Amino acid sequence: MKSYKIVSILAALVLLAGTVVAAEEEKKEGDEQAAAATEETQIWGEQTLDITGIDSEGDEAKRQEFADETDGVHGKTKVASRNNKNGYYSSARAKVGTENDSSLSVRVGKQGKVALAADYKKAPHHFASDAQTLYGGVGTANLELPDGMQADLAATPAADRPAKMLNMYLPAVHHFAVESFRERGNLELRIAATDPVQLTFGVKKERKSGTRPMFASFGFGNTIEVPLPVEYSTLTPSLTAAYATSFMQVSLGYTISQFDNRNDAFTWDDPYRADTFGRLAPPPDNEASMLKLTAAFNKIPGNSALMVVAAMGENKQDEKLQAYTSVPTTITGTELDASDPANLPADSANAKVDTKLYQLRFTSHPVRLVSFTAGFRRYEYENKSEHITFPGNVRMDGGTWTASEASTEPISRTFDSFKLGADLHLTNKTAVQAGYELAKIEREGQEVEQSDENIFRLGLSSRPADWFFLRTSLSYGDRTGDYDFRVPFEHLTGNPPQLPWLRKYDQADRKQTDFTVITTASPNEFLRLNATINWLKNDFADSSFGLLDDQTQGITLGLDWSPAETVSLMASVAYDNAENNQKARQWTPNGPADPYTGTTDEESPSNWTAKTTQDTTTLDVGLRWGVSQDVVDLNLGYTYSTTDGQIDIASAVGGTTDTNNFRPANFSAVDDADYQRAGASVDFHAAERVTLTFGVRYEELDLSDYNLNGVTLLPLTKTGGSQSILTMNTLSNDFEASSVFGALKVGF
Amino acid sequence: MGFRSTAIVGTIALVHLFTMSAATAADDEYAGDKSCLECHEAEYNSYQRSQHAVTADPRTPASEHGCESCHGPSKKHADNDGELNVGGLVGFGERAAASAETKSSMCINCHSSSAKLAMWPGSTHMGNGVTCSNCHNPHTDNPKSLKYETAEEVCSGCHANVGFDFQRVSHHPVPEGQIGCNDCHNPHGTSNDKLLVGTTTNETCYTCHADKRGPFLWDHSPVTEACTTCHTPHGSSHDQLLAEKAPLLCQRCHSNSRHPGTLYALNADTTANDSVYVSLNNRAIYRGCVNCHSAIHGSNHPSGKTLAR
Repeated sequence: MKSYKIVSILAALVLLAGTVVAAEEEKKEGDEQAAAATEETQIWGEQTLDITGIDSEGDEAKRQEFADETDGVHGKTKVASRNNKNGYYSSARAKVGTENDSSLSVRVGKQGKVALAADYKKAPHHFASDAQTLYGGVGTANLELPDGMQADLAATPAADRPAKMLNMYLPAVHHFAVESFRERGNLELRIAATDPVQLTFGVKKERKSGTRPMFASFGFGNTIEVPLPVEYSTLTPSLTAAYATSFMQVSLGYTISQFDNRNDAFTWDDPYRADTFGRLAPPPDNEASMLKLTAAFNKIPGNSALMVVAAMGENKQDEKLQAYTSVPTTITGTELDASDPANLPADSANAKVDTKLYQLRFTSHPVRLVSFTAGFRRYEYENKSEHITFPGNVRMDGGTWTASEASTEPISRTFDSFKLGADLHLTNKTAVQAGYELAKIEREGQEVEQSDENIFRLGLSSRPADWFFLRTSLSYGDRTGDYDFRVPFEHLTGNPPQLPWLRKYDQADRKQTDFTVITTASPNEFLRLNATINWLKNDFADSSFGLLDDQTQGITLGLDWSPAETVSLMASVAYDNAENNQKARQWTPNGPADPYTGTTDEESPSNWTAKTTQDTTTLDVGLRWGVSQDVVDLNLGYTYSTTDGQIDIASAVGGTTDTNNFRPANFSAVDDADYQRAGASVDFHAAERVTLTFGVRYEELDLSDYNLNGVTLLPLTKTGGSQSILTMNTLSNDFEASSVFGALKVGF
Repeated sequence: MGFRSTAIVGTIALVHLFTMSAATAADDEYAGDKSCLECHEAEYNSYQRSQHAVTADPRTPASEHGCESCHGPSKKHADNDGELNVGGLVGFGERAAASAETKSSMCINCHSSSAKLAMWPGSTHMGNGVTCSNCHNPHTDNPKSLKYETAEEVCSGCHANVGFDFQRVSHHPVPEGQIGCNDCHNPHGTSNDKLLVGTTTNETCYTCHADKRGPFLWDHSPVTEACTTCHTPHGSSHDQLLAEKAPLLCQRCHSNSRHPGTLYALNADTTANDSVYVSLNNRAIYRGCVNCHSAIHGSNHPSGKTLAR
């Protein structure tokens, strides 16, 4: 016992001495490194100023959909400082574009102690640059027509309204831009001085404002495109505390997101009915909060790790309900004034969803040859909203009162996933992977109450040579479930329910095959090649109606080649093909094709099929050539992309039992697009950190679609009849733009 | 008992001493940063502007062996005119000989104590042999020490097909730089499939589209389950990132009586091309069904059962 104590003390002294010596060695080494390092505060940055002149025509909104590209002077700046000795740093990056397209990011802190990040960004979304509407009050939640217009049109026979609209009213339309802007601010403070405990406080504020195009309608007869006002703001504060060592990382975070829509209602006048307006409920204010615990334990024996995630969330909204209708005159034979919200069975939506996530993942690499992964994940989406039963519903403000009651149907579901995977490491650079997953979904309020999917996966990850990497994976999933289409919300009063043989593809039995290849090769230091192949097929073999199958396949090839120090060439090409088939029936209640009372077989001349195909090919080429080393660089770039889509429709031309007894023609132009962009520029390196650039660009988009071939503000049929739709001219269309630019870049 | 304990403790002490000796011996193999600077000036200067060069932070390479903290002892490399793969030197380029595990372990050694990497073990990228240096270059002052200025340039190096998706007519504003891949994905591993940052697909989307979050009085069931039932988030040839053009998209699931099941097509008997429509009406052009069912993501109106209000 005594010898034990003596040896123990000696051992402790040795351990202590060793640690001290090691610490001294480290300190000495550190001092040497510090001496070698730059000790003074470094400041560096880069300023870019560019002047652009653009000559463009066509759809300006599409050309600048998400970024302002205008004539004038724009700039970018980047400034940073760092002191390696005391750890203080700061940086600022800014994009000084237009008023609606700019950003600023600032970072300051002391490394390893405290970090403060602040970001601001404003980005545009241009929908249409020359939209046209008859309404006044654009940008507000109340769109009104000029006095007398409603009465005048209401008094006009329906067949004459299009001509009257075109001749009398359309010349007086308002021209305006449909666009919205998103401003986002983010502030985050991270305190790491308390290492291994870290605290992070964050707050995000987002504001969207402007308008976006939306259609509004009164029954089937008058569909009108209107500018929906967008005045949204979302505030998201968060707090995270983390404890992290090399053995264990635990974090606990709480986030709450509050969405506020300044418009509680949106109204618009009905052009064809005097003194009538429609009213809809814009997106309601809502709040989502989540408490999330994440824990990871590394260095578990057997080279293993365990991850645990548990999260609880709540989404809720309690917006005041509006009245059934804005048109009390359409309500007859009831005891209820449906234009008064006080007569509703509830004052507010009182909608609430609880979410829960539990997840476990265990990975182990106990021996060189084999590694394992096992996981379980459960996500619960429990809708606790009240079932509200309305004593009757008005389907639209211009529609007719239907006396049957209607109940809300809160939808809940639970996802369970069990995963097992094993990697066989044939060499330390090649592994074969095999995996299995059982994915289960339990639903309430939908057609399929439970579905199970067995998914099998195989993969190969290999790097047989230093210069070659190959990753390929194949998965096959088989989903089955009991389908019951007779769910309450499929019923419309007086109508039979869904076509009995139809299966909704998001729940239907499905066999899915997914194959992917990603490979890169660098046979020498001057050449890098990459390629991807993807093939995905969904086969809804048990569905005789609805989506029957869909398939996408694509290949990309890329090349980066630098045959000389002053020349680099980039080229890539992609081809993608998508194809799907679906089937439906045209029928009316108690008509000849009614599957319940008429043609009760699956086969019917009123059935029809649609086959959609789409091919997209894209080519990118770029060249950078140092014409005169360190003085002049030449840059050339060209992109060409073409998309060709079509829909082939087929239906038998039947007899009296056929509700679509005509020979349908195919849609030969469906979102076809040809895009090309070419650019050339010359960089003149005036000094070591000063570069002058001059260049030209050309960009062109040609679109072709059946909506663009003949659809106008007031689309008419061939015979001059109204298609009962009044648009704002917001469809994307062709554009062409040429630009010259000069830029000055100065670094320091 | 006492003897066994004494032996164990003694063995531990001896092992510790032995390890120290070995470490001291290994120190002789380090050449020091100045030696690296002689040939790798550009990399060295760039490294000096990175967070890894901060000597005040005891966690950085600079506070230990500098360049050799990550690249390994380089004395043999320096003594042999820059010969590669000698003396424990580790290279991180695509052509470097070290295995993915070795390359990543050089980073993980220090960064394993980061809560941000808690989900890395067993993650998709780790399982597929992706190394830290495939995406990061610790020498740069790029945001998050990324290899390139933006995440999109980094990600499309392997996910070229996704990069091309963003060139479609309808796309999220990634090419314009307004959002980035990492707004929706966390490449270090998440608790979700596809490395999505949200707990579910929809919670990822709601980060920006909180107006679609609800819950609504009248929900549209596939909307609450997955936005990707109808939308392809990277890019589409159809407006609104739709997976199919309306009304066919809606008719995949709705073939009720009357208008949902109607064949909206041209009548080939009366017209020979697409320019004029006989059979089409306001349910087939523009946004198809959404022309009337404009509250397609959910309605909060008492009369919104059919999502038209």
